[in-house]
Amino acid sequence: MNKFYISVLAVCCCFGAIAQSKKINEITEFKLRNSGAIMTKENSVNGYYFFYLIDKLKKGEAEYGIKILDNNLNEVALKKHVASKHLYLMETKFNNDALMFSFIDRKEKMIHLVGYDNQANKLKTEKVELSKKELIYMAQLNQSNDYNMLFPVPNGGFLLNRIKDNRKLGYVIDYFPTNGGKSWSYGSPEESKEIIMANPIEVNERYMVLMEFSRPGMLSQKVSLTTKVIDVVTGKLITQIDHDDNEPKLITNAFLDADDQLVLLGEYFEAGDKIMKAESQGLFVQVLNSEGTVVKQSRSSWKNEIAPKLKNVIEKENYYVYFHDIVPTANGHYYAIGEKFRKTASAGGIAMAVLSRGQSPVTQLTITDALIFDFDADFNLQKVDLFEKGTSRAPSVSDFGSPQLNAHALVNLGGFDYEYTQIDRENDRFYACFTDYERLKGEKNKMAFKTIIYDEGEFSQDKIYLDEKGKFVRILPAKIGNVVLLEYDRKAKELEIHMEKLNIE
Amino acid sequence: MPFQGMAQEIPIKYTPDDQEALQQYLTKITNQKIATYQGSYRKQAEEHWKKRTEHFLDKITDSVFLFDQEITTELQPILDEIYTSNTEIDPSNFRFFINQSPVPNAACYGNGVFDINNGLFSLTETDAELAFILCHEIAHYQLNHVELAVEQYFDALESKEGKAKIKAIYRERYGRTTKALEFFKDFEYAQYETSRKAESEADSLGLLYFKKTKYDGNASMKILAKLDFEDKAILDAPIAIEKHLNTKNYPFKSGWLKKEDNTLFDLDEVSNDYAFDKDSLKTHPDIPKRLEILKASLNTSEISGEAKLLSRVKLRSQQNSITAAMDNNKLDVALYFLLSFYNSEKLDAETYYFKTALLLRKLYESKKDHTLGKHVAPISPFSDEEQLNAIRRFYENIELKHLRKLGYWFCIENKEHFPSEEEYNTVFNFFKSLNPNIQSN
Repeated sequence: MNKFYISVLAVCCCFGAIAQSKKINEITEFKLRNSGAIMTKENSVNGYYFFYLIDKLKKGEAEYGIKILDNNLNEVALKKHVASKHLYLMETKFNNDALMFSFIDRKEKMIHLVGYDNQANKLKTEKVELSKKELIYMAQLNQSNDYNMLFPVPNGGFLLNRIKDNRKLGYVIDYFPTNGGKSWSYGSPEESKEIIMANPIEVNERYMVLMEFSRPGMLSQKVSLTTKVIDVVTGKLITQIDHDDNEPKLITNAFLDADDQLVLLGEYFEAGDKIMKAESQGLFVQVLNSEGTVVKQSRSSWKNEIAPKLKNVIEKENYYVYFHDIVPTANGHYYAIGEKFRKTASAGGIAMAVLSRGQSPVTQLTITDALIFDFDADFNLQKVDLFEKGTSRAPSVSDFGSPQLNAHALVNLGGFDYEYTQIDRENDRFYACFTDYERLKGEKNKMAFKTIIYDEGEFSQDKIYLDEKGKFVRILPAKIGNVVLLEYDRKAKELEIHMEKLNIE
Repeated sequence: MPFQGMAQEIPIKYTPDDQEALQQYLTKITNQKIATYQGSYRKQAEEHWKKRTEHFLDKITDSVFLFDQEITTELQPILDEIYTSNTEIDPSNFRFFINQSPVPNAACYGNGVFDINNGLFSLTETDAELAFILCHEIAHYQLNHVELAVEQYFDALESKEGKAKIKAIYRERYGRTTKALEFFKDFEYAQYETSRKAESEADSLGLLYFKKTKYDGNASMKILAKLDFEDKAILDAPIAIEKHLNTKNYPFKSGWLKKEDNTLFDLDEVSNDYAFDKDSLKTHPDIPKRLEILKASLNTSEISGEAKLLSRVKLRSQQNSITAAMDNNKLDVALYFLLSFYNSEKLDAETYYFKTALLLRKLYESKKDHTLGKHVAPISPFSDEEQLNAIRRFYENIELKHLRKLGYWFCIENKEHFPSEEEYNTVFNFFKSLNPNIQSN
């Protein structure tokens, strides 16, 4: 019943400024613990959450408030939650049917899953005990950008991905249904002599696709990779694909297509190469049916297929490309989104430019233009589009270890200018977003949020300046094709929040 | 009121001509009000009334009010009729301001200042209806309702007992916020209960004043019934956006009005565990109850009246609605007025096509600059304002690449309706420059 605020024919009173009012406001002010966007796997936003501490209570408890905004920034709920005062919010996900918050109680060493149904009624809180070791590892993993704990199963429930202190470290994935069905758990063998970690890379109503990494020890560079397809309703393993050493691959993207075929995208290596150490040979696509049979696969090598077509785009030879995402489009093409970088303090003698990652130790990476590679359905490179971007520099994370690890660590630390890519399947569009430090002639350099938009087979760009006219602007992700601007007016000391559409001209 | 033109449109003034006189007036009435307080709350009262005056001046700076001499002049005879029929009213400190809000409402500030929302003129159909509302607001003033509310506030929060309660809450180690919210809830409930009582009293006294005027008493019931927005939208006139923004060369796309299907919850209102009881937070008794009370005081059933003075005010207010919304970049409200007035034949074609083309240009520019969201509210899942939501969906769904073409063809196909070649070129050249590849015949 929200409408214009109306009090028909009113007396007009306001008391905000009086001393006692201020005191009451001060007491009733909720203290923000953390906040964020509720993201989908397409990097769209379902809504936003704000987690507040409201009151300290007796017996080690606290009262928390969870405010939820929808994807248009309307407040839709403010929920009360009483729990341990040691509660820490990890993640929030939405499965089209229920909203789920995962918390860790650091003192009780427990995961709490607190859910709300589509009427915003609280569901039964699920609790999972952790050992001290598990708690420490999960807290560490949470610091990393590439660890996800909670996965929504559309209209079904949620998957909880957690560390398990087996003989060596392992994992367990628990399924908690929110719409009927049975819960289940699937995990690595308790007696395994290897460290086994898992990353669910794709989940739909029927399947969960899991990438399993195993290695003998923490510092070992010998990593075995297995892709597992699991029935999301029963938790049973349907198929398992062991990626043998004769065809080593680094899978960077995976998705289930409309026919539930598994599409794997990434980089391939020479037979016997260690993927954490060696240079990749090119990009690949592999399509498997639900039995794990390869129905199609294609490769595009850096040297033979890709490099010759890059000569017009990358003139200097000592440039590399780091790929952030590969996006499939309705015409069957794949668009690989990358950034050009070079090692400005490299030992020299670096050969050909187009290898995806270099191998030499570096102390600094110089990051420049954005590149989008257009591959056809058979993974033949059609063309490369270059989008100019200012130069930015990031220190190398480490001069030790593989360049893959370094580049990956740099991504996790936000070292590249790339922000995220949103995929709009309904309109067959994608939005690749970057931060750009524009160096302008005769003008002060400007920070900008730049988006490359693919629409109707063509690219266009949109740009939002982040620092101008006495204002300081930050961008938050929003629903597909939009961004939220947090605009701080330095003089007036006022923060303005508004959502804006990214423009296709 | 068919085909009202805006040919002699006068630009809106958002600041008064007599700024100094206004400042003197506000200082005078504020000091008079402060002087009425003696004893324990004098200091707080002084602070309170001075803050209110500052707040009011801020509203003028923020272009909240329209300073429209024509409306003020037309309203004066209605006010004079009330004053001469009710000699106990001393209007020497009264000043009525026109608030640009499209929401039909009016307010008494308790110090002689009143405001009437521009939206009220769209809702009232006769001089009598408007007169009743003015009587109601004057009754609030005569009954000192604002002072009573202020005193109630001071008693609750600034008294010895109130301060002691707040201090005790402040010292609580556990559950402090909850206790403060409880305290605040009791205070709010008491305030709103007083407010509802005050509204009933203002209805009764307002009706007494009104019945002494020449106007038909039953108009009071008619306007009060129209102000019942409990289950309906305020801006509910049909807009027929697909029809009026359709062009032959670039037809309106149904996708531009597509509803978003991505809501976290299926709710009719915000699910708030900390919400106070809704009924206890009503500032006014429900309209049906107020109507019952009025009905008992009236003995005729005939409802009549004419819009003698109001008809000119309504026309002027209609022009102001569009211009103020455009000036303040409220492009959703501006398009609502343009479409709904034109659709109901209250607006001439010249004004409609020229202003709508200007609006499309403004929309293009604000989308391009990423500033539209600063002025146009997002679509709310709880809003009854379906017409406004349709416009907001249109603004959200239409891409710039569509908007430049729509603007171009909207101008070309309706050139004959533009007031002049110069005004046509003002807008058309803008869209032409955005569409260098389109060849029109």
